Amino acid sequence: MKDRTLKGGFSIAFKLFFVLLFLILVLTGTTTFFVYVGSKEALREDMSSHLVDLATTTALMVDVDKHSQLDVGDENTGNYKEIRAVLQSVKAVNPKIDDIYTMVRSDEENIWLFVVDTHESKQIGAELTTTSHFYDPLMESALEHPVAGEEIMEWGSFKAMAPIYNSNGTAVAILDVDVCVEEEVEDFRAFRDYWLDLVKSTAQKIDGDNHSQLKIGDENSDTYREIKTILESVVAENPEIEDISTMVKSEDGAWFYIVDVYAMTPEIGEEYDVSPYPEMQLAFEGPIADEEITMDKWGVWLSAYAPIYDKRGTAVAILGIDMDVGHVLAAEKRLRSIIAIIFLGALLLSMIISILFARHFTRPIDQLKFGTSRVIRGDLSHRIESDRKDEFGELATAFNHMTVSLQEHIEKLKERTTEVEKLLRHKDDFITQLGHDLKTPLTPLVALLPTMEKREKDPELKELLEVTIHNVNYMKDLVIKTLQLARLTSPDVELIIEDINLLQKVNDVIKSEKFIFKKKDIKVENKINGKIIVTADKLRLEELFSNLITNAVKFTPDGGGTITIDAKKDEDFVTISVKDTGIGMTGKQLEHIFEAFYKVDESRHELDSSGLGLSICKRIVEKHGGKIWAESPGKGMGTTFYFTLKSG
Amino acid sequence: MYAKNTVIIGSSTGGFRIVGRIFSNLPKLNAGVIVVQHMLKSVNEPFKEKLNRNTQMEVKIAEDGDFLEYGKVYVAPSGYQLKIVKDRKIGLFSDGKVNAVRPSIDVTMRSVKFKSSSEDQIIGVILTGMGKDGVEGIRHIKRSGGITIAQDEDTSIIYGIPKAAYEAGVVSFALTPEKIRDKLIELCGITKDRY
Amino acid sequence: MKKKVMIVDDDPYILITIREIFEPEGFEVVTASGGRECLEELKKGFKGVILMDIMMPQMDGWDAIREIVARGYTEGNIIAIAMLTAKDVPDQKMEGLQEYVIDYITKPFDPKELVATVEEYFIYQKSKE
Repeated sequence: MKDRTLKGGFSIAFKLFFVLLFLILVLTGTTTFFVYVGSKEALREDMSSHLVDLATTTALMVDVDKHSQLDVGDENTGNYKEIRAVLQSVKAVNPKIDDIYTMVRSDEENIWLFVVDTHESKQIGAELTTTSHFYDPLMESALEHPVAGEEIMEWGSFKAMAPIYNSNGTAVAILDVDVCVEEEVEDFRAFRDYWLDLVKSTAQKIDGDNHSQLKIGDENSDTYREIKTILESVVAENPEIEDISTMVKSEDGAWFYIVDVYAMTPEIGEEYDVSPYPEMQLAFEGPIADEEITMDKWGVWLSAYAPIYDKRGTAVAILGIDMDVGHVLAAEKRLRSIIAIIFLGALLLSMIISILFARHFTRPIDQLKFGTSRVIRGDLSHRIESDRKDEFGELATAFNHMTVSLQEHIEKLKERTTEVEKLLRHKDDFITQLGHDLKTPLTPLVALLPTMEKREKDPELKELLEVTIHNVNYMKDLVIKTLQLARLTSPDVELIIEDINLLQKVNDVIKSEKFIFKKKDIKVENKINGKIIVTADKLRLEELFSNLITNAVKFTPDGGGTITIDAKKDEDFVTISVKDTGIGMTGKQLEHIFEAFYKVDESRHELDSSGLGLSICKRIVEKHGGKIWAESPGKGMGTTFYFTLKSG
Repeated sequence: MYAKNTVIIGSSTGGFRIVGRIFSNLPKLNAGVIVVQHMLKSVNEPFKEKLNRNTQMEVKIAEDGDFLEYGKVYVAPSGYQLKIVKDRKIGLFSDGKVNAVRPSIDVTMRSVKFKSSSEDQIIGVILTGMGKDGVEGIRHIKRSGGITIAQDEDTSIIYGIPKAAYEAGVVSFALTPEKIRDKLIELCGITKDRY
Repeated sequence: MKKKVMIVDDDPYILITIREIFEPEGFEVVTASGGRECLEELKKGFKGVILMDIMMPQMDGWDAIREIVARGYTEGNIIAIAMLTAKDVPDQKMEGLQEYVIDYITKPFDPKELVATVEEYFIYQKSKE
């Protein structure tokens, strides 16, 4: 029973599960998808437009005349510094902005030239955010021992760090070197070792005590300049260095720059290939922001550009702003994980709901299935328990009513059957007793009368005795046949059913009865097809044919006649006919012919018939599941008896 | 000369008359026939005489060491178990009763071991009687490839043993005594020698 | 020596009938109305054919046969026992008695046939008696 429950419950649960899952997923999916996309869009839109506005505004702040005069090498000119200061002021109020710069077109297509760039070394106390591409988790262990990257990162970045100790031996800061390699490094091990040694030795050169004293605004202090000089000399010897700095970690785990040297500020006239940036190319026509977030060696950016117009209204340069959107991406990533969690939750939820739901429906169905199987096995006492008030509850109640009713009916039937069987047994006992009681007085009669007749000398008495003998024999015959007939209806009589070749069987019977045919000069024709097989009890079949044939003979007058036996096979049964050319029968006679003790002729002695032969035939045929009937055109025109048997 | 055909007839209550009918007008079969009839010793001779009178075959009470010859009928004597031993010889054994009878039809039929040549035929016949002595014997003969005949219900004085054999599905033919006689003639053939 | 027939039956008419059938044919008929009488007759030295009815009060035919066997009357005696009975089919009580019962004749019987059958049980007795 157990696995039946599982099987049934499982398949509906499955179906429900998938349906629910599908629905829930579709629902949550579409909602979150739209929410996500929408919010992402909105966010980005917002960011972009904000950035574009900023770029436009900043562009207006640039003194276009002074800008146009700048030439290569003019980094120290007043104009440069002025414009730079303006840009830096904008940067200062927008901490997410990483760089503001101006560019002009060159003679080559898609090669632009930097003019003013605000990349610079950080002031004391500038925070290194974890989203900055300069941040590396390695830094956390840099206070304990020198560390370096295990590999060269994307875009050629490589980092090495070493602790800076004070006189007590405590690590108070780290020295951080960010390298940018453009060519492939063949021997990474050597490369790494070189930089590790370099940071180690450079860190040692720095006085930790002095370093600890530096505060915000101390950029002009001697300590500051001293340390800066050390750093600058390292940069001079190693052009791959992008940035070298000392950093401290605050109590709450944030990193701050102390002394920083940024080595990759673009010089005026430095070339820049803008072919990857279609929006940039359009910037001369109007303010525009990048469609896509850019990911390059400096991190994750969103950029906006605005044209710088001269007095005649011609766009002569571009103002670009790069904003660090790492935080946005991080936020988007978080959003995606939330969505994933929601999806999983939906999966789990739908699974649970569908199982519970399914069980709710399949449990009563299983109860019903189980109940039915028990009933099939005959256990009508089984009841389905259900305290539900819905249609299933009603079904359970109906089922229980049904089985109760069935039980009652079957009990009644059983009683009836027992009664009937009892009666049949009584009948059988009665018949056995009757048989004995009838045969007992018959025995001396049958045995003694012939003896008496033999001894009797008086011819008159002899004739009377002959009459007596004839009648006693008749009675004996009657008793035997009656008992036989009664026994045929007994439930204990068994038929031994087998396949019998009809032609052969009939020939056997004809052979054994041939004496009576000869006596009356009757011809017998057996027209049965040799291939016909019937399923019947062999002995009863012989009895059947014997009775029918002797009947046919009996009712054919002296002087000859023909008996024809034939058979016709249909799909499932065979119809056999025994036809005679005898005295025939009227309609009335045909009606009663199969009744027990019915005789067509009242003078029974003449024809010496007990009237039982045909009723015995009927019993035999019916016991085999067939039908028997007779047809006659009329008196004097013969009779045909038909009966059906199952074909083999 | 050894019989190529062996017929073993087993019979119980009512056999006196029934075996009589089989042997009535029975020509000299080309077979060695053994008859095992449940009877008291006092009836052995009357039984043998009844058979002998009506048939052309030579009927005798079986003796230990007899060879199974064609044209001859060997009646199992009361009080012994009759078995066919080596070289088609008859052996009489004072073994215990089997199925509460001695001679037992089962013992005789089951002692038959087959068949040195494919021309040999073993025919087992089981006639009227009560009980089951003979059923296993008939089964053995059927399983060994022999032909088995049971008496039909109508003519059996007591339709017990033949019925059991028939219902066990080990019977090739169910026949009346006269038909059994005819069947034996058909299966074994008649020898030309006059007795 | 005359051929002897013993009829064992509780029905007195049957006893008369058998006597009337067999005596004219040259048999000596001994009658017994039950198993006990039958055994008494055997004790007195009866040798011949016993016709035994089955359905008798007190001791039925089968029990009677068992008694006859138990008392050794079947050893070396000329006895053939045929059941004469109204019952068509013998019952389970016959089990074990197969070799003692040579025939089973149902009532009502044909007197001529009965005499002829019994006659044959006497064919060819080597003169032991």
